[in-house]
Amino acid sequence: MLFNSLQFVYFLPVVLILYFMTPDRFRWVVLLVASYYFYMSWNVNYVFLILFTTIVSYAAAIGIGQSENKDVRKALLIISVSASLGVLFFYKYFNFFGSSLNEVLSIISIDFQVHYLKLLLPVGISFYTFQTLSYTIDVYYGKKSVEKHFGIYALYVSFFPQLVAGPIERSTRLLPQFRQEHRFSWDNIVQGGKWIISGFFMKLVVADRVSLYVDSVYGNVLHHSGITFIVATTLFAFQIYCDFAGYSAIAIGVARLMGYDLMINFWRPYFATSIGDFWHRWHISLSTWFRDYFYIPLGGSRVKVSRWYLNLFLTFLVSGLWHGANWTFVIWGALHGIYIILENYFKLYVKKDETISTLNRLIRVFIVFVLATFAWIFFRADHISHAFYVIQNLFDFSSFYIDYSTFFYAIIGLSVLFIFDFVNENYPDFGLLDNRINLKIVFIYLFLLTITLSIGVFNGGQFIYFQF
Amino acid sequence: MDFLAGILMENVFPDITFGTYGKINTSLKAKQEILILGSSRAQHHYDPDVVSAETGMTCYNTGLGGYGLLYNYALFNELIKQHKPEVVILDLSPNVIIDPKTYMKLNIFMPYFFTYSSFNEIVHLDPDFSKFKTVFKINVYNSTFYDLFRGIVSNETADNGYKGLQAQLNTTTYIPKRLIPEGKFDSLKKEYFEKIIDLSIQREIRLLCVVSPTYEKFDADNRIIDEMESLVKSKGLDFYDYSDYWELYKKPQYFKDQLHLNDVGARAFSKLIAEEINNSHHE
Repeated sequence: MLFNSLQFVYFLPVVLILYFMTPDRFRWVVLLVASYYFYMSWNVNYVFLILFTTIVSYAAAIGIGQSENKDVRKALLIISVSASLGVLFFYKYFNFFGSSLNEVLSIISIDFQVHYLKLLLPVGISFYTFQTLSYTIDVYYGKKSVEKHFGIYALYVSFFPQLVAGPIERSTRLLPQFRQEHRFSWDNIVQGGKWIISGFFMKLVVADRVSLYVDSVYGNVLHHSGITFIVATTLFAFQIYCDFAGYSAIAIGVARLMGYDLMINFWRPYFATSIGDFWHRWHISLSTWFRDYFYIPLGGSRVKVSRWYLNLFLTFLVSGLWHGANWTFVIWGALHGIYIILENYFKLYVKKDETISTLNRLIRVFIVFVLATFAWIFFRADHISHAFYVIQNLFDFSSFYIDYSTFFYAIIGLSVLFIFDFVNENYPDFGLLDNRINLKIVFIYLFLLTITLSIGVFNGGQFIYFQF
Repeated sequence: MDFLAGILMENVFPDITFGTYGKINTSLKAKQEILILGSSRAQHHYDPDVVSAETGMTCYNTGLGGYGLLYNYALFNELIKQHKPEVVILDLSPNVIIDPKTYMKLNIFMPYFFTYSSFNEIVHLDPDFSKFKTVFKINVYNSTFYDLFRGIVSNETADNGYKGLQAQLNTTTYIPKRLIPEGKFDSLKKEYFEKIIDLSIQREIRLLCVVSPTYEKFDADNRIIDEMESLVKSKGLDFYDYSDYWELYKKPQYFKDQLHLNDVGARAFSKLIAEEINNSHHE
């Protein structure tokens, strides 16, 4: 079930009514049933995987909590992490590593083939796997007490607003909220509504519109050249931002309607003044996950400089692989790793207490946008050879594919997006995304709604991040 | 806000003269003696100027790329409520007839939902259609503003509906598109095909069911064409199969691709079809 489907239009009010009609102590049942129904609407069989991951991590955490023996606790952690990562690896990476190995073996003339398995990647597997991993690790290190209620734990893993594309919540933040009392509140409805409308605007007006051009160019790279690639990649930068940030905004808004507070996942990333700043604004729940559970355990920055750079590089490399089983994602991650190492080596970032001039800020924002957009070439290309073809032909200005209709609607959508993000970035007290309501806010959201209904793409595709 | 926007669009929309909606609007107002119905093959294969010159009758081409029998029915049914053409040519394309995606595209006719009952009927056939989409008037006119804007800015006047293709088929890069062998003439499209035939019989309009030339065709095409032919003949009408017409078949100079004649081919074919109209007129 997609957020932008009619199914969801009927699903959400039913869940909300049942939720608020049910006494507090049974609400987890309503949400758990709704979440599993939401997940099963893609494929009923997927439910066994999420159930398996839930049971294993739940049981391991119980065992870790009860045992005093260090070795037993460690063994349980390893079993839980291996089981969760094993499922993820099998469904997401088996064919990728298999085909890569086959290519290597054929180069060195070894007659062995790893057979290709017909596997359908379960929706959201990367998201809920990381959520269960963080819980088990937190329990192991004593950062989180054990959740003994299986139903509430299962809800933590499957909470429908953020189940299939995040934000990747931490048990320390989300689990306690399932035990709190959530009364119906107009403040929550106003704030949730604002997030939902802005999310739909981003998804339907910007992401799905520009995707019409981006897909037609990247689907036939051999037929296009220079300016077309530059325009398509720039539009893709906004497509991926609005697609994913739009989904996160809807998820935050839907959870907010019921009184839940999900973490903010995007913070206007294209206003970033350095690559480091970009990663503090882009997919924040994943960046902080990798920081806490990968980068810091590797030693973080409290090691020799060379080792620190290696830690940074490895973190971005693995983060790239998390996004997809394709070398294009690995190169995308590696590129960001190189960017961040160079930025730290030359100390190009803006220090926390440093103030910079508007011109300096503009130049920095532009450079970061260009670097991030260049890396998106690898993220969007279907194959490495296509990405290199795009780069090789980036400055061949012999032709330009123009789609006037898409450009017309895209310019309207991007202009509104820019004003919205600009106000949010520079005038945080304006009240665009909090629970305040006044005539100005009503007008702005009616305008966003009208724009969405009048030029949004309502038969567009699913959210890009579902495939991760 | 939505109510006012809806009233504004209701008044402005019929005057759009640009793009897809411009074509549909002009087609709905067509008063010519000969009308051509069909999909992209109709739009690119029949030049009304040539047909008019040969027959002495006025002619308009309503063909619209990607939209087959369902659209043809809605348009035909609305057209004949206000005007009775002498001759209607219905161009039939096996590829559009078996394409299941044509149902998915029917939401494009949403702006006609409230004003034309036949369009209302076919929009309901879109699997994604929901009455929810008609709650907001502004949503009914979704994504029509570009055509409106271009129509105002460019001030284009209506043409004869024909779009000639200039390129010539390149035989070295040519890869034939084959119909799906198990593809069917689905029952709903067949039903609407019959409705068009029945309407023309009731209103005593001369209907010519034509399969225009293809560069190359396969067994699956023949199967669909045979089905159409038997249906047309069962209703007592003539069926004109030019899909492998010897003068044009497999002659790249007349084609842009496997399914579409170029301008040279279209003019030759338009002359041929005009002769057919003249012949049937004298019978």
